[in-house]
Order: sequence, then structure tokens, then C-alpha cells
Amino acid sequence: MEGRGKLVAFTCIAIGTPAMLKLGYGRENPYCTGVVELEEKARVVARIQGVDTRNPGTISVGMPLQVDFLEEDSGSGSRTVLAFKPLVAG
Amino acid sequence: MRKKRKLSRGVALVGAGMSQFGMFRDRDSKDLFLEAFQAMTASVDKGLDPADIDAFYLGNYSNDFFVRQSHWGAILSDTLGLVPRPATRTEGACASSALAFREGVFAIASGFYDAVLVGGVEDMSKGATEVVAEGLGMAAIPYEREVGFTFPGVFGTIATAYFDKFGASREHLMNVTIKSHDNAARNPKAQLSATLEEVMVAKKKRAESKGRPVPDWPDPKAFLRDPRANPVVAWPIHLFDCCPISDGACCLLLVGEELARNFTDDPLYVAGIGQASGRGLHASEDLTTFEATRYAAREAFDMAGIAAEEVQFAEVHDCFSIAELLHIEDLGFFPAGQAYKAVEDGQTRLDGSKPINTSGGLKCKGHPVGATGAAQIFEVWTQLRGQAGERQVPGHPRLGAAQNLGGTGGTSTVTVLERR
Repeated sequence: MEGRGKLVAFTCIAIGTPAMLKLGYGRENPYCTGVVELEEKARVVARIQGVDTRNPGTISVGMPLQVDFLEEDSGSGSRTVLAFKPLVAG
Repeated sequence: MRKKRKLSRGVALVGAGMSQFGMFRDRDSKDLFLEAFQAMTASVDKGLDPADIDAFYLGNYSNDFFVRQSHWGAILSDTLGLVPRPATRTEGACASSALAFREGVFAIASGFYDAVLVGGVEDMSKGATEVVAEGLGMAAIPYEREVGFTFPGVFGTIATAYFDKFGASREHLMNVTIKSHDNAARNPKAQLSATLEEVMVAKKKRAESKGRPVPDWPDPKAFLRDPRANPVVAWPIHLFDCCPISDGACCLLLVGEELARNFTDDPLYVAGIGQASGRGLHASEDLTTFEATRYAAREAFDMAGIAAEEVQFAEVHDCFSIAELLHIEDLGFFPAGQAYKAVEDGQTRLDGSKPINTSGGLKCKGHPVGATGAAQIFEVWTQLRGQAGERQVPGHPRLGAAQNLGGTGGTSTVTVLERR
């Protein structure tokens, strides 16, 4: 697994889960989650980082992504969250 | 591989009743269920002696979480005076009472019982919105929960896949919302029983009385496009794409087919039932369809010996507007990618060729999750018996269906009822 893929579908969540609200996300700062298809064809659900969640029209199905693991602590200890960000060429 | 299924004894629906749906600060599951039970009892044309009820199946998703009390089968049995008859609770997320209905059907078809009470209840509006959302979120699959998906988020994701594949847009979702409100305005039991025009008038009056600038929306779509009136929840899902938080209950009475005429001269018969399981977003090769709904529909329609087009109207699981489009395609009413055009053309309206969610659907009738499956069947009952008043489907329909979804597609059921 090379950790590269493309965005299959996504959402920008303004009314988040209690854990995400604790991390500072919300109406003014939505977060993006989506379905990513890896180059190896497997699909995963993941957080999508580095996109303009207040302007979802700028995020497009099919955009190339690369893996970007997050370490997050919403109050119950640090944990690793599967995330992707736009693929940087080269 | 799949064999055609049949019941070894026919099953008839001879009574149905539902409570008012809404957010009730001062009413609990007992109050709501008793209201539904009394309405059901009153609907049995030749009368019902509760002593004739052999057993009770109750759908309830998570009163445990919402009001910190579980074991509602036995508790409501006592409320209704049914003790010591057996009470069994079923849980399949938002499809909990559709599963109770199936268990009731099987219990009678086996010959073990002659008359079974099927019900559903949820008391979920007492907590804060984010707590309610957390309780509902428990029915998503773990991968989705771990990265922060909410239910509106799951359906927002499905919507972007549908838009991308078929060229639909938010404007098409608005057509579903407008139709839901129009139908619910004719349903006295509905939680949001107002057309969008009426909602707009009320909001203008409110602004005026508070001395705020009065918004000027020329039509319902302008209202729905206004981010202050209709804020984003999980893009592209906005507030008016979502069902409300609801409390409510529903009761149905099933009996052996040969006993039906003891209760009414106008019984309905269970023509087909289907249920299937699904896996979640990551395992779906095509996010614009629910595998479980397609499988359940095939089972139910095969059992009934009918084609999808013979179903004259249906209640489907429109927890979010986009879900209605997927389900009416998965049920085979419209080809893949065509539902949004059919809705735009008015085909799913009350006077259209395939009326959908005549009750107002989950979106406007309300969605007390454990009661929803039974309440969909209540609407099919009401329509097939010609008792739907201002929202009656014309032409005295003979075949109607209900489709109920649990979780993010993890459970789906389809029920076909018939008037002979």
C-alpha cells in the first residue's frame, strides 16, 4: 500500500460529533470526511485534511490524495486517525 | 441460489394506530404507546378484546441511551394489561419495528400464535441535540464513527456521489423536501404539518414581531437556498433535508388469515416481506445504491409474485432527502439515476404515477426511530383502506409497500401489503 488514492465522495460536517466539537470543529469550522479509493482499489473512510471546508464547491470527487495520519486527543487520550490530504505533485 | 419464500399460513393486518408524532417534554413511552394502542383498538372494525392477543413484539432502538431505561417490552406489556403474555423487543437501528413486524408475521405463519400485537416506540427528544445525535451515531459502523462521521455526514457523502455520477444537484433535493411538506400538511399526526409556504409566512411574521428585517423569499426554493433559513448541517445536506428529532409510537394487530373476518370485513394481507443486511460506506462499490434495499425488495416482490411497477404507492426511508432518491431507484420504481428527474416531474406527488411518502415521510411526519417501521405500515394500511382523507391516493389502490432502513444501510426491509 503506497498510501495514494482518489476521493470518491465526501461531506463537510458543520454539526459534528461531541468529540469533534471538543477539538474545535463546528459551524464556523467544518471538517471534511469522505470515502477514498486507494490505488490498490481498496476503499476506506477517512478524514480529509488540507481542503477548504467552508467552500465545499472547491473540493472535487476524483481529486488525488495521499495518506496523512493524524494524532488527535479529544479528552480520552491520544489516538491515530486515518486521514488524507491533497497529493502534492512530484 | 435464492429461493422464493412463502408463509406456511397467511397473515392479515386487521388493526393499526399511531400516536401523534412530535417533541413532547411531558409525555414518555408509556403515554405515547398507550395512545397508539387505543387508536389501534379503535381501528378494529368488529372490536378487539385484548385478552385475544397472544404475544407482543416491540421495536425500540435505544430508549436505553435516550432516557436511561431499557426493557420496554415487559414495561409496556404491563401498561397495556397484557401480562403475562410474552413480550419481545427487536433492535435494528431505525428499522427496529419493521423487524418486530417480521417476527410477528413469522409467529403467526408458524401457527404458534393466532393474534400478535406489533409495535414500535422511541422517546428521544428529551436530551440535547448533540446527545441525541450521539445516540443515533452508535448505529453507524465503527470505521465511520472513528473518523467523525455523523448520520447527516454519511448521507451528505452519498449525495456527493449521486450528484457526481448522475448530474443531480441540491436543487433536486429541494423538490423532495417541498413534496414532503405538502403531504405532511394533510396528515394530522405529522410533526411538521405545514407546507413550506406556511413555514415561510410564519418566519416572516416572527421576524416582523421581533422588529428584525423581514426576509423576502419569492418561493420555497429561494427560502431553501437562504443559508440563514436553511443552514448547512453536513454539506450538501442542509437543515431542511433532515428529518426532525421525534417522539412517538405505533401499534399494529396481526392475525392468522383465516381469522381476519372475525375482526374486520376489510382486512389487508401480508403479500411479501424482505430483509437484508449491508456493510457501510467503505465496502460499497457504488455509493448511489443500497445493496440491502435492492435485496430486500427482490425478496418481497418475488414472494408477492409482483413486479416493482405493480406497487401503486410506497412509504420509503427518507431520513434525509437524498435517501428517498436512492430507495425509489433501489425498489425498482425508477431506473438508476432517474429518480431525481421523476421527482422534478411530479411523478412522486400525491397525484403522480407513483406517490411516495404520502404521510410526509420521516422528513415531516417525524422519525421516532423505533416506531418508524410500524408507522410506515400504518400509512400503507390507511391508504389501502381508503381512510387517508385529504392525502388519499386516488383510484382505490390495492398494493402498497413500505421500506425501512437501519444504520448506514446495515439493515433494510421491504413489506408489501395487499387488499384483496
